[in-house]
Amino acid sequence: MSGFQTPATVWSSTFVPSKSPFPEFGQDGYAVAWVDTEDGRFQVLVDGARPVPGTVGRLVSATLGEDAIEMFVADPT
Amino acid sequence: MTGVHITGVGLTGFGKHSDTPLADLGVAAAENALADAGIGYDAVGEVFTSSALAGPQTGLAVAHRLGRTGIPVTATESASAGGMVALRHAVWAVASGRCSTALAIGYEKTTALEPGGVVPAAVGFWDHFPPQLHYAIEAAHWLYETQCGPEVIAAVAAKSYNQARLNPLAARRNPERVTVDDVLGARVVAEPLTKMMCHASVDGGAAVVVSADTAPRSVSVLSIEQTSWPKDPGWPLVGPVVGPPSQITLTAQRAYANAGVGPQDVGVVSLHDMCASEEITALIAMGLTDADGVVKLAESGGLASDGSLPTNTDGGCIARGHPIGATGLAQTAEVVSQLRGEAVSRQVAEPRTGVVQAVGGGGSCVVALLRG
Repeated sequence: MSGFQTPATVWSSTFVPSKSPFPEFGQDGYAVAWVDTEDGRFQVLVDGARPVPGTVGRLVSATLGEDAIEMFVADPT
Repeated sequence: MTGVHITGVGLTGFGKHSDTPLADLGVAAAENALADAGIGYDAVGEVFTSSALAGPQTGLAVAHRLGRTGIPVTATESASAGGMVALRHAVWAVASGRCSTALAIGYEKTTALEPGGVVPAAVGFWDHFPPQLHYAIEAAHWLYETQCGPEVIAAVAAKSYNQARLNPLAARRNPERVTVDDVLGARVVAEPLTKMMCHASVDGGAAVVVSADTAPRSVSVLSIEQTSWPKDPGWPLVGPVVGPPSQITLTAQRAYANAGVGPQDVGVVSLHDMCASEEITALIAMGLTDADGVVKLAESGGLASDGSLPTNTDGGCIARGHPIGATGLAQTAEVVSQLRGEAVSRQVAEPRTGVVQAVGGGGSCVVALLRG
């Protein structure tokens, strides 16, 4: 994955109704998605509600614990 | 055609064996398989062992307990596919002429860590998350594409629980018949998967004897094929997860071709079902049915032992249980029992050809075709 605010489209997603392993994220459950980008399909955490397939958005850089990751953020509708 | 035959299979009970040393599970399964084959350990020319979590040299410890005959003992590790990887080595040890009889042994303890065993530690980012994530995402996609509800996956899981009720060695034997509503009503692990759609982590052992010679109850190995992590741009690399459905298709096609049979010839199926949705995926990927067909099979009971495509008749990983390194050999034992006509209350009506499929984290897939 390359960088900041990469356009991405959701292929599929799930919602996990339990605490995420990172205290600063998803303590009431969290969504994970497979998203398609120009560089391929990736598994990413979702910032917000579980997106339906076809949802368009961006991958935004974030840090969880000591890990630098990219999270999916849906575009405003 | 390999010219190799399975002459003996052996299992331990699957479940919690907290107080049983891991090696004992391997020894017990091997002794059961040798007894089933009607031979002693001194007839075995090579041993291949499988475990994902055992400590170093456990395979040698198991073999030494069986008899210090000086034969080669090789330990393998390939996660959930490990048992089938060990079986493939055993088959080719015989097929190549290196020996006339070989033994594959799988053993695992997942409910209580064996002293000296491997402690699975989070290495990558996704190792911190539930391993069911990618199954859930794939299952959600399949439901979206087919416009089906989760009750299809629940029907597959309920079938597995009810098959396990007929298997005295299974870990999850529900006293009452399990319904689709029971499965749907269980705790959600990752939408659309509930806990009852996910495998049972258990302890257990399984072993298979292969031989160049036939015996009255022997089953022929028509083919056994393995692939490891082929490229698929549609399958994200997120750590040691299983490979994509396209890998199952590739492996199955090679196995069918080398066996000289097709999906239409298969009368009994055992496949890896870490989650019940994986059973659906694998049946389609192996060409045994299509998306419409699998829905009808699941909802009509067609995947049960009295159905038209009997699948995971021992309860599968969902309910027989999943002792990682032993699972593939337990699957093989079930198909052998079916082809012999010895599966008692879960016996399929006169299957002639069976298929065993296993996938493992990190990316190996093995498919074997057997004929009674």
